[in-house]
Amino acid sequence: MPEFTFEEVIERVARGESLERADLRELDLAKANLDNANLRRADLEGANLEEASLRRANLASVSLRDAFLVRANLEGANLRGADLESANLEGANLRGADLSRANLEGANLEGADLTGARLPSAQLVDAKLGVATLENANFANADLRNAYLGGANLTAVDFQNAILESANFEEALLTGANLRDAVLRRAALPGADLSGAKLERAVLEGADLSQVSLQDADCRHATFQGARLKGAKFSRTHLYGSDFSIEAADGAEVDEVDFSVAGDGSQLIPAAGLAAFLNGKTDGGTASPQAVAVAPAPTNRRYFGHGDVLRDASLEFDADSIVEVDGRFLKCNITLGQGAQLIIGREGLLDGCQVHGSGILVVHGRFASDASPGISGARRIIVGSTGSVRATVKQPAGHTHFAFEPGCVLRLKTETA
Amino acid sequence: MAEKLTTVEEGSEVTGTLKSTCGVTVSGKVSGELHAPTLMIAATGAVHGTVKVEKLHSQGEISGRIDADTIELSGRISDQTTITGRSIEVKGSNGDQPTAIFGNCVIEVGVDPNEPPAPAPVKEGKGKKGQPAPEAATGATT
Repeated sequence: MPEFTFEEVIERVARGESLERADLRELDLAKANLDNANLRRADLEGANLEEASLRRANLASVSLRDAFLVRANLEGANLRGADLESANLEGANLRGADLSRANLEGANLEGADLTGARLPSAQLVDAKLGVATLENANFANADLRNAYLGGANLTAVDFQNAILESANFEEALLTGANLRDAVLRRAALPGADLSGAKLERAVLEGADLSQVSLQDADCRHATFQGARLKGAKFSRTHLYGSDFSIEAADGAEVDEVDFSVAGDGSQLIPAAGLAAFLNGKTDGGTASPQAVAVAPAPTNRRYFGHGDVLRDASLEFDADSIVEVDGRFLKCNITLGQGAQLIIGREGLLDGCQVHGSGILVVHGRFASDASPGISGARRIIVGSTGSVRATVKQPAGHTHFAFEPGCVLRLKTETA
Repeated sequence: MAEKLTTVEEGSEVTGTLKSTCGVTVSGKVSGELHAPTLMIAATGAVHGTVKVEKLHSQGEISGRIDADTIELSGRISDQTTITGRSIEVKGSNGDQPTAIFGNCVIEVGVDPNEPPAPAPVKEGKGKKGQPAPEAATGATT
């Protein structure tokens, strides 16, 4: 038996009295006006709140498990940490509501309006969000595994670091969405519009991306392994550091794609030149993301193969040139022009060398130097999972941008300018 | 049931030794010694001193002696910091700012298969007094 009747609840709310921790289980509150009510930690499990008005109500940590909230108005409500497992919120108004860390596992939110709602770290496993409006909503770090979001309006939604494994986004509108570091493994996105979406470091392994639009999308460092890309549109898509390959591109509609480090469109490769660009990889197509991204440019490229040995040499490489080393450089003095890239392949070794200049150093092999500094002024140092660096690094003003992949071996001393 | 966490909230400061059997999240400031299975330092957090954890994920500021099995770093690593561990990850930056800013630091991570193993310690009690133990003796034997 609930603690209060419908009339008592309405009366208390009208008087501005708190219903904190009240036992209202299974109570029929359909069409009740509960605007601004304080129901913090109340138990509303199985309650009927169909078409109820709960605008700006305090529902923090409330239990609404299995509650019926069809077409309820929860605009601006505080639902932080609320338990809404298996609740029915079909067509509900949740505009601007705060659902941070709420549990919405298996909840039905079809056709609901969550414009500008906050759901960071919320649990939405198996939730139904078909044709819902989620514009500008925040789902950072949320768990949406197996959730259904078909036909939903997800314009500019924030899914950073969200788990979206096996979620269904068919025909969804994701223009300008933030999907950085999101996990979309085996997600279904056929026909979705991802134009201008930010997908940096997103995991798209095994995802169905057929007929998606990735125009102007930022997919740098994203992984597409095993993804279905039939009919996917790549136009001015930024792909630096991704594992995008000719095999993956088969069946996709590729216009021109950008391989610039900064994703600023400065290295656009037309469809006609894509195969030559990507096939320039030096390790038979299994290059790491960085290696793909810095694959041979038409000019300014030098390659030192396995078996090449340079000893006591002084080398200067022009700005923006690309130098790949699979051989051995011993006690060499290397100067890199601005933006020049020195890539040490898996078989490559630079021993006792010194590298100067504001270039980019990518290490998949070994760099060992007892000189102090062994590396000075480098703008970026990227050490892949097979890379090993033993050196003192003198950073430029503004610091070196370091990137280290798990598995790398480092004996580094970093010094500031 | 949510995993239990020891939390140092933003605006809080802990000085001394903090030992925990559950994970620690720092949004405030910790100065001293910290031992825990996992340590998560938020962007607003700072840990200065000696840290020994299995897993470190820092987005804030760290300095001192950091020892962790797996390390995921962004944020700021102050001067005079030594980081040792088995595995490190620093994600590449996308803009003008580095993901992680390193001061004057020492980083020793991973095991280099090409590095010679450390010499075996000399065992006592098997050789004659004042002579090297047989295991440590060098040169040909006749």
